[in-house]
Amino acid sequence: MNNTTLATLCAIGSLVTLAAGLTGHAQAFGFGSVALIVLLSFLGLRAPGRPGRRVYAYLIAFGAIFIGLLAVAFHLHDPAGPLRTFGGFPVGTAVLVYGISAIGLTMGVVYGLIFDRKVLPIEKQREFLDRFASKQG
Amino acid sequence: MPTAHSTLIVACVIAYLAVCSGVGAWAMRRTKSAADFYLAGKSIGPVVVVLATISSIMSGFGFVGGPGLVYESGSSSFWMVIVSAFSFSLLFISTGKRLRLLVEVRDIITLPGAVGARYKGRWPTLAMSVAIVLGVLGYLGTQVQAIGTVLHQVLAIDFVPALAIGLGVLAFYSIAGGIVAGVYTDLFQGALMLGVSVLVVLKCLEVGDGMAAISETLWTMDPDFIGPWGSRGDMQAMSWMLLFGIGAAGQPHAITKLMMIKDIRQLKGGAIASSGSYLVLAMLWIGIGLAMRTVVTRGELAALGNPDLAAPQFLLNYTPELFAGVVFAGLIAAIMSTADSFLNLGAAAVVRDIPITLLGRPLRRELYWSRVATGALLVLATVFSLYMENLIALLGTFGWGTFAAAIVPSVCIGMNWKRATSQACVASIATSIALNFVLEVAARHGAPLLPEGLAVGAFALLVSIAVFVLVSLSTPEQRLDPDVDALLKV
Repeated sequence: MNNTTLATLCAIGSLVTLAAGLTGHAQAFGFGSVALIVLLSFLGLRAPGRPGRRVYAYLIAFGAIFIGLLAVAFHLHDPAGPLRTFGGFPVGTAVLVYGISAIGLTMGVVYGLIFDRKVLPIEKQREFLDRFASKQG
Repeated sequence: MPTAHSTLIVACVIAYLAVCSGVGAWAMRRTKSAADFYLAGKSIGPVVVVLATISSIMSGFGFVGGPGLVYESGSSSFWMVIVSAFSFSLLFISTGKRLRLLVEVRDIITLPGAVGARYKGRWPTLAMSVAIVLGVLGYLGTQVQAIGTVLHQVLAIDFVPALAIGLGVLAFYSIAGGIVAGVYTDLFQGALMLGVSVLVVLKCLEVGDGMAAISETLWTMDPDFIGPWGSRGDMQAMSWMLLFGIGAAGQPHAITKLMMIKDIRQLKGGAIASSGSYLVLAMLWIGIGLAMRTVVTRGELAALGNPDLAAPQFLLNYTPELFAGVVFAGLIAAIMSTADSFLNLGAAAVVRDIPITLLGRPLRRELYWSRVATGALLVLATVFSLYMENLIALLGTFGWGTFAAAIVPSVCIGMNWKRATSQACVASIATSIALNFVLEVAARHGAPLLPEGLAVGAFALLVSIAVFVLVSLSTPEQRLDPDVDALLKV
């Protein structure tokens, strides 16, 4: 999958999410939003010539878990029923406060872990700067 | 906003204003060129970059409007801040590396300058500059109003002298010290607020008798209020998740901080540090709003006349005076540091980016004119906020959404996709400005054009992304400069 495919998927994802929003389908809008977040991260992390399957696997897992948590939050919230709490919050809200924040934080951790090998290997940085930095007066 | 006429609170705020003036005087000696004025000479360390980034995003709105939103509609606005767990990472992932490398090889010190280098030609730079100036005027106007309002109440003096004091200090340090002064006051604000946030949240839990008791009270009042979507409903919550989760990566005051970092390899830990720190600040936003709604529901405190009073009322009623004073100083700091970031962005657009597109070069004596433009923008924003309140309110609400819809496609996608074209960049920025403006005006005049709950900024962001990609694919591929071509392969 190249970046043109990813960008095209971003456009399709935007239009589908837009349609969900305009027709009032909040759950589908939420799932589409998560898909867009994952696609934009793919675009940013993908470097030509370095497939990074583990990174791809992480992002797919991130998206799947995030969408799963949203689905659980939609399912668990029952305003007509009795209050059930987890960690002090109603269970649906706890999914957001504890679940989505935790899965969200993993993105920063992964970025730090793969920075030297995948995001910006030192040799790539040196090669680029050696080639172009000296030309700037 | 009420005031206890407290000497301690006044002393804390005056001490903060004195610190700002000191930072301004110190930064003036370090500011010798336009690159220093706008990018702090690309010499900022990672801790300062992280704290300055989160501080510029967490403006006065975060400490006053945020708790107010929770007080008014419960969990709905949780989605604005919980998403910071990944939104800062998206900012680092999609913009950090390539923008910082571009700054290294080109004479670029502003975001429109980077956009101009990426797409070639003057129109992308001009379009980005216009979007930034419009957003900046709105944001600045609201910050100016906030400075006057908060100082008027805290110092218990008339609005105009209060505004004059606040703007005097802001003008001194932002004109003299440029972004150097800005990032170090951001650092002060960030460190201060991180320190007090945890204590405030503990106090909130104590006031509400623990989180389970707070949930029980609020569930009895209205289960939807404390449910996952809050009383504004699921569509509004999901809209905010999109707008703030992705839109944070399109805020110019945050992006430019990444361009300032001294060593590009220091970006490595920045994503998790920013996300984690902002989540700590978010606890204050959530905690105060929930605690205040709880005590009002239990009848322990009279209902608030205005939701924005939630934070100041909590501080004055439930925290020790000195503690409240420190948080009030942090609040003024939040407002002023955000204002400084916007003054700097606006001055850069006026003095550097727009002249480069129209004249082919920046203004001569750039540092001098940068200082003049900073002062002029502050005066203009003050006049707007005093005499054109409606315009400022409109521009203030459309700022975040316009930046998100203009910058996410052209920078976050464009910096990672070789096939993106300059026509697409201009088209998506124009789409962003037009949609945000028209839809906000319609909504303000009682004729909303979107279904209930669908945020204008989220709608504009989605349309803008689609426009950007589709126009790129339908226009001829651009020949890029060798360094930009190589940059997109790094």
